[in-house]
Amino acid sequence: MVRRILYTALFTTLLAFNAWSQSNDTTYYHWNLGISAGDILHELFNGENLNKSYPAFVLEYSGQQYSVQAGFRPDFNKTNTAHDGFLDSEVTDVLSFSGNLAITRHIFNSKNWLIKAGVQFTGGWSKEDITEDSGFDRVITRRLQWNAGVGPVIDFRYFVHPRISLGTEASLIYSVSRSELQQIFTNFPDFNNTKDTVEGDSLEVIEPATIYLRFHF
Amino acid sequence: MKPFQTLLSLCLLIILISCQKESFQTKIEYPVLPETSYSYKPNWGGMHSHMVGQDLGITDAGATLGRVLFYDKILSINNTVSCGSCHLQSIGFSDQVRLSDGIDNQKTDRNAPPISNLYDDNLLFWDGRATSLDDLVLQPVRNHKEMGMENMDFLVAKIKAAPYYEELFSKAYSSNEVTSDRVADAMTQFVKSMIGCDSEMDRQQIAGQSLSPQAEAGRNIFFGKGNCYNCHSGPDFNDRGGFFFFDPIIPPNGGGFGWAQDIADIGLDKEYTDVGMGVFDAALVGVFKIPSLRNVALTAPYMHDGRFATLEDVINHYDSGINKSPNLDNVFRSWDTGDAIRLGLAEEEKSAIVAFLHTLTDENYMNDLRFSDPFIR
Repeated sequence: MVRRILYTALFTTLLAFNAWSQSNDTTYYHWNLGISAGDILHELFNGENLNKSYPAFVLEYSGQQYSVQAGFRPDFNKTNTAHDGFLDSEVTDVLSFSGNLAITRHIFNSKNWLIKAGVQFTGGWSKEDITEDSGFDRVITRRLQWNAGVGPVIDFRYFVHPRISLGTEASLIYSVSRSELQQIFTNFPDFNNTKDTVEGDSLEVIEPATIYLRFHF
Repeated sequence: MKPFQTLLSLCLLIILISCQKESFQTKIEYPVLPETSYSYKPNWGGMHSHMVGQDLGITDAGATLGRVLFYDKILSINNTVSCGSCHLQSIGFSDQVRLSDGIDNQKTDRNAPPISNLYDDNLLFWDGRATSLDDLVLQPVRNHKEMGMENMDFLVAKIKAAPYYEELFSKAYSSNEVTSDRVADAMTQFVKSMIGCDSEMDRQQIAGQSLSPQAEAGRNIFFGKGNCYNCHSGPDFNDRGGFFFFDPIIPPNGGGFGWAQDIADIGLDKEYTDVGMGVFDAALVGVFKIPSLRNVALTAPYMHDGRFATLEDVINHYDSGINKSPNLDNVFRSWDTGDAIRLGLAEEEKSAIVAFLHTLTDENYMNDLRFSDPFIR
């Protein structure tokens, strides 16, 4: 946690200092679409945790003073395991969506630099199904997870061209989460049940773990 | 707006793909059973057990039902694990891994103990938490890691749904009603019937002949210098022996649960990694049930946590590796200093004990069709 705060503070200071030294001529378009280049960077910044807490895609509408940005990350995995010597097969399906909505005010704007700060709302949902098909019954062990959070965000952009920018963001998010473990029996639906429910909350620094390549239009 | 529309379409496509339902075809695997039921009359061989000739409450139909239940994976919550998954006949109904795989690839807490000659045991599981086979048989079924079938109504519903059980229950109980008590009873009958006493040691004893010279030397060390018989006496080599007179004065287990129980702290660790019977009595922390040595040459790995891979490792422990643990059994303490004993066995003596232990293997037990998996064609 302390390491993350230090990284974020250092990064923020460097970028802000650099931005202040730029001229004030500004040209921008209202819409932009960004794609994260973060998978490799994520490992560099945060090698012990490969969970990607940042959106893969962002779409933003930007006015003269305020911006609204929506980001999301879809994820879908499927693995299939056959058990040798038995009828059983096991399929693991993971489907998850996470996203955020940020409302920011422009606090610095120059020809090449744009810095914004505001509030960010985050949310996520994921479903992991382990389906075991024995022939006698199909059993799905399902892990459902939700989370929702809110907190301040700061966003940095560097325009390499009026239509193309590179940017990153950092935030401090307080979030609540809930997780359920369910068992679903195809042939015995009367015995479907929720085995386990876990609820929790956390305060987390989301450090600048990726760079968004944005196209402005 | 084009990029936005493209992304939206992609998301909808992913949702559509993930929501597709695959059809499920029920496919029942039937057990293959003999036309005429096997006889589950105990084969005592030359065993000197007080139960020889007594009625163990086993019927052929009951044990046959128990056999099918023992090997049927529908007794687990996700139909992937049966009792037979962790108790393999080819190795004395033990498992070849330190900790067995339960449902959802969860590891069990302790090594799966071998099954044989449990007909009169009143202390079952490594920590003795079951006092009868009736009490034992459904515990692994209910265990959340092993088979996960915590709801007995669900167990009954699944057994009723398997068409082959109607006839098996009718034959065993004169009615096809399925109850968890009947399930436990049938499995108990089957496990009780699992008696193997046709080892080389048994045959030589009946014939009044000696074992091979090395095995005979091993037997002499086992019942002599090695003091192994102190914990491994009786027909199944799991009874206390030799301390009965002094037990009330110097209880072998250190007291607490009672003296002369077939349990011991054998000094595996100075600091306990598993409390064992300590969950029932603080005086028994680190104490475990003494296992039978029948078929012991096949049932590696050894101890409650499967820490020893070979019989040689086990003998080395008793020879020179016993730790002075807080509840170390008095059998392993020096009478004057109280320190852990050191046997000082020579290598050939250790090899002789191993040779003797090999004579306790009943090969017929491993191949007895009455105890085999009926679901394997």
